[in-house]
Amino acid sequence: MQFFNLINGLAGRNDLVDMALRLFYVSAVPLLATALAALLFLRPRREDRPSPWRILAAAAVAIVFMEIVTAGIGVAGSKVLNAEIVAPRPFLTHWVNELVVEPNDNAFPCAEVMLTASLAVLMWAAEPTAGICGLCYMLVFGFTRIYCGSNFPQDIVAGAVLGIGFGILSLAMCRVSLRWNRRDLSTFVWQPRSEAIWSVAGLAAIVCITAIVLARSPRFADKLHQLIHEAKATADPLPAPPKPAPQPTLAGAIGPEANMHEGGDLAGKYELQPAKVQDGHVPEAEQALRAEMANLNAPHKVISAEVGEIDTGEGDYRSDLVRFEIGGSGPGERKRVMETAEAIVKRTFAFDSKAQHVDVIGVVVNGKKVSGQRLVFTPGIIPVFTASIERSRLEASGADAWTNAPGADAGSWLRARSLLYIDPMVLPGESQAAAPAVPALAATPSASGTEAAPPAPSSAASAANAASASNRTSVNAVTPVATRKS
Amino acid sequence: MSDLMIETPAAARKSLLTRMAAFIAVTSVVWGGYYWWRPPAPMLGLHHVEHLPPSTKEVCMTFDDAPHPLTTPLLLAALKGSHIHGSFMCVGNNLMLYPELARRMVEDGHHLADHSQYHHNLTTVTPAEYDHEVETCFKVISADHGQPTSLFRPPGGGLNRSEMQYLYDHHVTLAWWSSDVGDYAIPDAWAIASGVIATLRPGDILLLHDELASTPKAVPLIAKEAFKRGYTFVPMPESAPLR
Repeated sequence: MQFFNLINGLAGRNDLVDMALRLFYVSAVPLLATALAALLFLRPRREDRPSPWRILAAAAVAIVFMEIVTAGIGVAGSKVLNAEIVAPRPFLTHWVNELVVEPNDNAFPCAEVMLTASLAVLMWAAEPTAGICGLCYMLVFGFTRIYCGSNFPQDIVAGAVLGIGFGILSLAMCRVSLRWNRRDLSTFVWQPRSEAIWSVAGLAAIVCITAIVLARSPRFADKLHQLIHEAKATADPLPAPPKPAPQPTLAGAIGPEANMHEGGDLAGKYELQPAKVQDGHVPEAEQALRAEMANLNAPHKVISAEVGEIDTGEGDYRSDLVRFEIGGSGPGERKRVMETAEAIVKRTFAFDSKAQHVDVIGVVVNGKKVSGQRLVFTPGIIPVFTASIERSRLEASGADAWTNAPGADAGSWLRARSLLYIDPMVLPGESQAAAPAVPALAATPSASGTEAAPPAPSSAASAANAASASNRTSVNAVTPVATRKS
Repeated sequence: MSDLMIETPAAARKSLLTRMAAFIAVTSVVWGGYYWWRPPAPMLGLHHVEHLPPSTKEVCMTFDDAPHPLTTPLLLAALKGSHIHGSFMCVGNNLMLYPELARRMVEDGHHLADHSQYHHNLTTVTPAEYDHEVETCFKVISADHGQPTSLFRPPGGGLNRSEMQYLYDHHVTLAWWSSDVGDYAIPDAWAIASGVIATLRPGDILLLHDELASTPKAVPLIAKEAFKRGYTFVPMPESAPLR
């Protein structure tokens, strides 16, 4: 990696060099192939030279080998290791000076360098001096690929080794003798029988080298280890013993006082802790909020209440999250849900003076459909709507003033103050209207309002209960919150 | 050398012609085939951003997969509290579903960019659908929210050669990243923050995600430490032509 940084760090300093190497990058392989073609066809035929057509056939075989290896690694990655990309390009995971855009695919082994190496070996067969030049050219090309930021050094090395191996193998398959030098010409000749031995030995060597280089590639080794580990885990019939629960070592470690100036040392300093404690949650406040919600005579069951603190650097900012359950389903359900949500929001703001933000989430328990949300919820609990309300927006002003009117129902109250969404995919018992989520809200409560049966409040003194029972009192319910805030 | 030649002059001329023809044929096949296999135009000419110029101490926060009703409000609050303007890579369908959230993003001074219409990995759809996936989101951003942009970040990082060719043909800028802390695996907030801080360097483009519960809590931690080190946060830079 440091070697990569060393070479790639040179890029972007001189425009002329960059431009030259970029052009070389895209034309290196055909240039070398042209040189090989010139070597084969522009020189007069001689008895001691191999037939150009055979070398051409060997080149075709080498290209087929290259395709098989690159495609094979892709298929092996997706089928065996269950990863689309086994060896990602540098720009996926690192800071890179990228001079040439490459697709996001396997970088290992570098197919272009493999081709260049094979061509260099074929050039060697045609003319050993040219072969040496070709190998040097391959090194320069490998440097260029690292300089332009599309391959790691190990990709280049693996590509070069494989390419040389494939070059030799394809020459053997096409019955072209590879002259190590001019003196060896008489002694080193491919014999029909030794040819087969050489081919098998070469193939075995290539497989061994590939395995070694792949095993040394960190990403691939990780995946392999993971695979073996998983195979072992599935093979074991006994269930693993339960792990002891991790003890919280430092409650609220990441607050304003956290040692952020030490940066990366945080990971080593604090052990992994339960999410509740260290994500800025306030357990005491949560318990109190839960108790408060239990007092709320809402028609639906509150299933969780979380209080999270966000450190914005300027005073307290609490974000409360309440999830409640929707019992059944039916045409009047949305109205009841809205009223409950409104009651919960008002009660929370009235109860928690530090709360600046309330998120209410209505969920279906054991619902049938699950939407594609990535947010993790308890299994079997599906959010059907969310409202996110800031304290400053509690009293709608300006154009939204109509929503403070006594006639406004809970749906419009919430909608005017919040970002209120219903996921149409998971709403229980709703016909597939396929309408946009937000407009559907305004229509439904008023349309089916008469069918709703809000439960009678047990205590008229409770602002939240009043709000849930009657829309008329919902405006009054805001007032205590506002006074408490000021 | 000439004593090895066993051909008459006429035959030699004929052989030379054959060899010239073979050379030209092989060369043209090689160049044509190679550039069919590795088209050079998008490799050299596609506009792309991996990082900002490292000479200034500017850092860019980008949030993929926005907006999300559960987490975008938290993220907006955290960004507002930290006085940061970031870039939201928006999924066009989500923009249409949650227009209020997009309005709040623009109101807060954040920058919207294209993250495809349906968040399909474009390597898994046919090139005929690229127009629908990419252009629709550009239209939603510029027409509904008045923020023309040229930046496109492929969903899931999926990028193949036909997609590169499409982006090159339509003068779209590829908005990549330089720092990927892996917050999509939903680590804890402190893990995200310490991971980002550990590798933070001038010009970094941070890849973070909306729709994750711990990212909003990590933003103030990152911001506080970065400000302490003298960094400033900017939205992702645009390059003409906007759409």
